[in-house]
Amino acid sequence: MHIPDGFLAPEVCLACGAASIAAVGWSVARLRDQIAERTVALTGMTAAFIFAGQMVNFRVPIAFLGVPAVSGHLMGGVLAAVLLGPWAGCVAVTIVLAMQALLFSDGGLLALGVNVLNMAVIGTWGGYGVFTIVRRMIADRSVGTVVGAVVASWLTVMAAAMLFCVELGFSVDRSEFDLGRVFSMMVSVHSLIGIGEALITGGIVSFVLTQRPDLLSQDEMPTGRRSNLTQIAMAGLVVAMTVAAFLAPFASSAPDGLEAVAESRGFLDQASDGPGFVLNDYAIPSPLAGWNRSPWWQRVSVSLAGMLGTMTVAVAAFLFAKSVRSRMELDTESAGPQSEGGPL
Amino acid sequence: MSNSNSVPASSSAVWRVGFCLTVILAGLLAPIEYWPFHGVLLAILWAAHAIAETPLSYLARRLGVFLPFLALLAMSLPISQGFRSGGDIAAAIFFRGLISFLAALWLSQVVTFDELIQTLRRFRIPELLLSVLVLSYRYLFVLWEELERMQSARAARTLRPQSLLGRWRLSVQLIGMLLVRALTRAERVHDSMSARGWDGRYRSLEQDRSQRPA
Repeated sequence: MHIPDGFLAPEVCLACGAASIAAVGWSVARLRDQIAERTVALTGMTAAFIFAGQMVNFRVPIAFLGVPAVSGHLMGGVLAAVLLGPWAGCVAVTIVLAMQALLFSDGGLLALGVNVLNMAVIGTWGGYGVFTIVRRMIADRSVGTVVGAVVASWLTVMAAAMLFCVELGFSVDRSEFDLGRVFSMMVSVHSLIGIGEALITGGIVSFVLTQRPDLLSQDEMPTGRRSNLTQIAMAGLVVAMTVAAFLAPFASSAPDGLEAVAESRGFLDQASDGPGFVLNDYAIPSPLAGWNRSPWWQRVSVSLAGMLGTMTVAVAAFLFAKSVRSRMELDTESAGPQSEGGPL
Repeated sequence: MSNSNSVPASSSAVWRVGFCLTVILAGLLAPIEYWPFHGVLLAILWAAHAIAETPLSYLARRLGVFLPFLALLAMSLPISQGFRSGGDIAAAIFFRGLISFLAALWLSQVVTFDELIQTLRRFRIPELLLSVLVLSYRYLFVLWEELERMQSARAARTLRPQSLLGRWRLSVQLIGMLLVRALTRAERVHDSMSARGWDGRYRSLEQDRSQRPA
């Protein structure tokens, strides 16, 4: 996810850098209004934690371009926002990205503004917005916190991937480049990456809720109407539909590229008969081989990938919420003294 | 980051940052048709690393991780176009990415952390951001050590190979416990810093020496 230098045009980096400076400057100004020095230490420690937490690898047994298994790690934007709120969260993730670029050459120096915009600003501001909305919909505060974090994590990863496509669109010659294909590829891959991020963030939030719930109760939000798990599932469905509706217009550029491909049938045959690239049929493969060439299937498959990802996240959120609730009830029943230790 | 006791925060650090950014910008702006120019930039960076005495093993280790990632990223564009186009863009991304990576790596070798902070201060980065940056850098190594201890302890207790789900659950618990410990430590650190007169501003010994009257 860390964009290196060389991928995007310098003017795009500058524009994103200006937007990032404005957004981070706003966060710093809001932070100054509301904090004592205590938050500085807390924000610094959270930034260091996210950096260190990214060292823990999560292995995924999926072959990718010849590599037998890939591994991912926590990104932490939504986690920072849930812990610190949007302003301090944005500062913490910005610091993580700056440290990675300046001290460890991870991510480009000129592209730092792009990375900050895509991950720190969208990840924390957008993530916190989604998190708050979902949490307000659910009466049970603990369940709402976990479900909100899970949904927000997936959506912010998708938003970052989409934003990257827009930035790429301003960096390459669009007349000779089919951005619809790049968009489809990015959305399909990141709908899976987002599920990983949602699972990890949801797991960490539910763990902290059972160990130290006070760390996550920074502000008491008024809870909304009473809702149950059916309503949570309905909310997940609404999000899926929204995402699918949002993807369709973007994906509509795909048929243009496919028409161009169809003109050169030689390539079409070569692409379908050859050994095949992993990302060639970039979205969900059709059960019928002929459909994969169909323009409408290309469009539908992107929406399906989005909906599948959202539904998976909704199921994950449901399972997390269920486990947190049962553990909370267990803790209340046992009413034992809470220790700082734990299973680790 | 270099451990050498080089010159204190001075204009030379600003020049080094400026040189690094100039090389990156030159590599980005030059069209890939002028590939000999990119070759010259790579040669300059190689010489700069030689003068900075960057250990070859370190360079090889970092490049070993970065180059496959960069190659994959560069190839993603031709792949998405079914190899019809994008070859020249892939080459440009690869060489520009390599130049930028080597330049940033050089910068991290020749500028100490204190110099970096003083340079950022000269660029009028808000003090709040610098304080968070300094504290994060300080805590990072503490948390890394903590993480290593926890991973060793977990490995010692986990005797049989775990399923994929089990491994994920353990890793999530590991990060969760690291978070709980980190935030608890943050409270302790803040209390102890306040007791020593912390006012939210980072100061370094070099800066104090340079500001002290002779």
